[in-house]
Order: sequence, then C-alpha cells, then structure tokens
Amino acid sequence: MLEGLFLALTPMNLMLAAAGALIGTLVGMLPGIGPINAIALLIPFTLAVDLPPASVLILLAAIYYGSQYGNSISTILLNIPGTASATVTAIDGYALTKKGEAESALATSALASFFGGTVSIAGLAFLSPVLSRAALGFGPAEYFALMVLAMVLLSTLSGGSTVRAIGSALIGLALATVGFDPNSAVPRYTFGQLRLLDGIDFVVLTIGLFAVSEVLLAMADPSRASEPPAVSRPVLPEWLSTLPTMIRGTVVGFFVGVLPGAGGTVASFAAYAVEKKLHPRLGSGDARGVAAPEAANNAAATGAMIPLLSLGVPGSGTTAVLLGALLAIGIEPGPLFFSAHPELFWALCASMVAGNAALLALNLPLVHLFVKILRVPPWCLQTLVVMLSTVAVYAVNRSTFDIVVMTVAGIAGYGLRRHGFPLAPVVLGFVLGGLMEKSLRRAMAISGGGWEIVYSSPLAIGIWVLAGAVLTAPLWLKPNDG
Amino acid sequence: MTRAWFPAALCLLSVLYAWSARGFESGFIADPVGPRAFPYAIGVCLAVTAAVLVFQTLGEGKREREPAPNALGRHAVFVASLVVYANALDVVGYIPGTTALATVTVFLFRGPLGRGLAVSLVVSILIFAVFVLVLRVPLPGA
Repeated sequence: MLEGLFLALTPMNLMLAAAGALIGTLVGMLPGIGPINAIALLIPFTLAVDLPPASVLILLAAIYYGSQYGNSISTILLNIPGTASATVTAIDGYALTKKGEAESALATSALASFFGGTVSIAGLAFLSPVLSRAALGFGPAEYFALMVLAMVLLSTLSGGSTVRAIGSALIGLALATVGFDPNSAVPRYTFGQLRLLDGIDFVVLTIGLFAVSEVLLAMADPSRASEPPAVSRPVLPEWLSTLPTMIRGTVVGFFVGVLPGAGGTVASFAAYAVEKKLHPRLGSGDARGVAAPEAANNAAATGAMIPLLSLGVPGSGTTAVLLGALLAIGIEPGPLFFSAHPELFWALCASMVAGNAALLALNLPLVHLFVKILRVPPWCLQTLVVMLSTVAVYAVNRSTFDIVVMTVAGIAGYGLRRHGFPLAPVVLGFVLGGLMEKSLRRAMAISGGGWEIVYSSPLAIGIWVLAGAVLTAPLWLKPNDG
Repeated sequence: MTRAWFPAALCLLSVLYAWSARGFESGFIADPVGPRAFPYAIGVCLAVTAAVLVFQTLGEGKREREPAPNALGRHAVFVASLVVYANALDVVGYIPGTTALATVTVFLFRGPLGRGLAVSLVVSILIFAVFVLVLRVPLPGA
C-alpha cells in the first residue's frame, strides 16, 4: 500500500499530475469534446512518451479529472453541457452565472469535484470486493426499476410543475427510440434518413437543447443577453455551507456509480434530486445545486472503477476508454488484479488523489481568469456560443447533418423552455431510454413474456417501493426550505 | 395566444408517434416485447400527460408572454442561416462558412458589424487551428 502511495508522490509524477490536470481542463473546456473524447484524444500522446505504468495512470487520471472540470467551465459560464451529468450542473451553475456569481459557482464546482473524487477513493480502496459482488446482483429487472426510480426522482423533485417534468422525461424517452432498434435492428423514426439510423447523438441533442435554445431566448428577450452583474468574489463561508451537500452527493454518487451503465448520470441526477428535496430553492442559482452533482459525478467516476478493476467490466464510456489504455500498458483488470498488482492498485488510488489535488491547486487561482470570458459584450458572447456549438456538433461525427439536428433540437428546446418544461428530464430520459428499453426486453425475454419478473426479486421490489414512496412523497411530506 | 396550444401540439405529436410504431415488425420469438411496445407505451403516456397539461393550462387562463418585437423574424433568419451553413460547410470550407454564420449572428444581436466580422474571422481561424492542428480533428477545408 505504502509503496503504491509513495510511487505517486515522486516529483516526476506530481509534475505529470499537474500537467495532465491543466491539459485536461483546456481540452475539456471545448464543448463537444467532453471527458471521454479528451481522454481518447490524449491517450496516444501519453503512450507515445515512454513512461512507467504508474506514471501513465497518474497522467490519465489527471487528464480525466481536468477534462471533467473543463467541461463544467463551459457548462457554468456558457450553458453548453458536454455530458449528461453536466446538464444537472447547468441548472444552478448557469443561473449563478446570470446572477453574477460565476466565480463562486466555478470554485464550488472545483471544490465539490475534489471532495467527491478524493473521499470516494477511500470507498474504492476498502469496499471494492463487497460492492463488486453487490453490483452483480443487479439483473435487467433491477436495472429497469432503477431507471424508473431515477426518472421519478427527477420528475417529482426537480421543482416547478411535476406534470411538465414527467412530460419532459417522456420526450427524452421518445427521442431515445430514434434509430436502429438494438434487439431486432428495425429502424425506428428515421424518416428514411440513413444518418439517423445510429440514433441522435447525445452531444448534438444537448447542445441544441441548451446552447441554441439559449441563443434563441436571448433574441426573444434581449435582457437575457445583457452582461451579467458584477462578478462577486467567492466567500469561504459559502463553500463551507455546501459541505453537507458535498458529503451527501459523494455518498449517493459513489454507490450509484458502482452500477455499470449510466451510473454517473443517474448519480448526478439522484444527488441533485435529494438536495432539491432538502432545499426547494435549488434551481434558481444556488451553490448547493452545483456542489451536489459535481461531488456525485466525481464520486461516481471513482465508483465506476470498482467493476472495471474487480470484474474487468467498464461501467461507463470513460472507464471503457480507460480500460483500453490499461490494456495498452499491459495491465489486465479483473478478479486477479488486486492480488497480482497491489502496488498498481494503490498507485491508481494515489494517482486519483494527486490528480484531484493538482486540479484544485491549479484551477482555484484560475477561476478569476476563466470568468473573464463573461466580460465580453453580449453580441460577442452569443456569437462565440454559436461558433463553439457548431464546431462541437460537427466534430462528433464530422457530419453537417448533425448541425441541422442541433438546430431542430434548439427550436424544440426554445419551445419547451418558453412553456415551462424543464430540459434536464429530457436529457435524463434520452440517456436512460436505451438502457431502460434494453433492460425491460432482456427481463421479458428471460421470463418468456411474463411481466412478473419486473418485481420478482427483493432488490427490485425495494426499488419499486422507493419509487412509489418518492412519487407520493409530496402528499405526505411538507418540504422545509433550508 | 393561449399557452394551451403547445401541450395540444405535443399531444397530437405523441399520438402520431405511437401510431407510427404500428409498422415496426420483428420476427424474433426470443423477444416477446418487440420494437413496438416501448414506443407505444411512451406515446400513450406522453399523450395523456400532454392532455392533462392542456386542461391545466386552460384552467390557469394565462396568455403567452410576448417576445421582443422582430424576434420571430430574427429567429427565422438565425435558423435559416444555420441550415444554409450546414448545407454549405463542406463546399465553402470551415473558416469562410463559420465567419459568415458568426457575422450574421453579430448582426442579429445588433453588434458592430466591422468588429464583428474581424472577431468572427479570428475566432474561426483559432478554432480551426486548435481542432485541426492540435487535436487532429478534421474540419471542412483542412
């Protein structure tokens, strides 16, 4: 254990952690690149330099955390989320920016990411064997129930009209059915367009829904495009007040993140929903609305390492890319990983701490600099949003057709926002739709078409009961504002 | 105009969505649900939700908030320029195409056209350089 920890603390590795965090932040700031693509783009560079395995791990972990934070910067400042979990951060993060508290939002994001990422490493180190066994208990029926719970959580606790939120989630589910049906390869809702056979890309949809609709709203209501009020300095007590939120977000994020699938996304939404229940003011620009999803997201990223390292099963897109990198440097994760490479396991844990610490040390002083982007005149900022959005969308599949899809999504997002429909449930429905349908159909295939499988295990029943309790909670609980 | 038109349109769209699912055939016995069931379920739930919203909105009796004058025209120009941009990008190349789109956006936000054109050109070149030369992501005209 100590050998692995000391390995991460050599001057060379600390320098690599700092460099990785900085490069990751810069690349992650570009909308459309996102953490997965940032790692995928930078892996060849890390492998090209002949480094020992532990150093490669440290560099990759730092790039990952850096790109994740970089993504939060474009989310909070420009309302351009590049990942599903960042859409939750956008709710309060962008609202804080509009209130002139972008600096505070960015600092909270950095601190919450550090907190969630670091504390959850203790969970990774000590709970890996137990949690990997528990994750195996989740079959298709349990996954289906979990997805329904996530939808119910967000729709009932996200504030505003519950009916509209449910409508938004259903729109997201409907959009997820576009493209080839994964089981039968039947094309659905493609309208004869070959380019829709693979479905709508997540980045294309979210940039349209959030960024393009924001530009359209700014055109309809010029006061939206006016410069935000003077930026306030971050205040220490405000950060401290978000500490309980960070703790809750970390716990929720870590345990949900262990589940292979959309762990990170569900974790962020669930952590936000829990916080919303406790503090109904969330949504109008509250630092806790940034702290909860950011802590949960980073904790989930650590939790996702458990099935990767102990079972060799990548639970998310990012861990899948990381698995490729591990295999490239000759490390094969799986049941024997802990006994065969204990020093690498501990080096990995230490590398995550080092990556997080480097990110915090580098980015807290830079927050003031990042926020300067908001000082540019509104016409310039909106133009910048349009330019970044189009290049990001094009870069995903190198397809100009995606720009048309983004435009349509932007018009739809504008209509939804003007009529009070929240956008976050649309994204959640879209992200979970495929997994939800796949889980349901797998479960039904196992049971030969019998619906009873959906509530056949104690775990599934427990999740359904929880979903029912959340759905009926407004009837028997009176929220208290904090 | 009353705000109820939006949920009403959503209701109609969801009925069309569910109705379109009737054509999804699957011959797999091992897949008892098939490709139709999920869209049917979503379509029906969405139609019911939208119908509830129609009645809720009519009950509220609120009128739609009027957008700024000329907003519709500016929206139309912006959307049209995005569609033209998408269709012309491969032909004209990234830098000229994006500079033109960005300049139109500057115009729509009533920014100074001369400075707007200069900013659009410089930022287009910067984005092109970062994506093509640093990240090795090809853009049209590279």
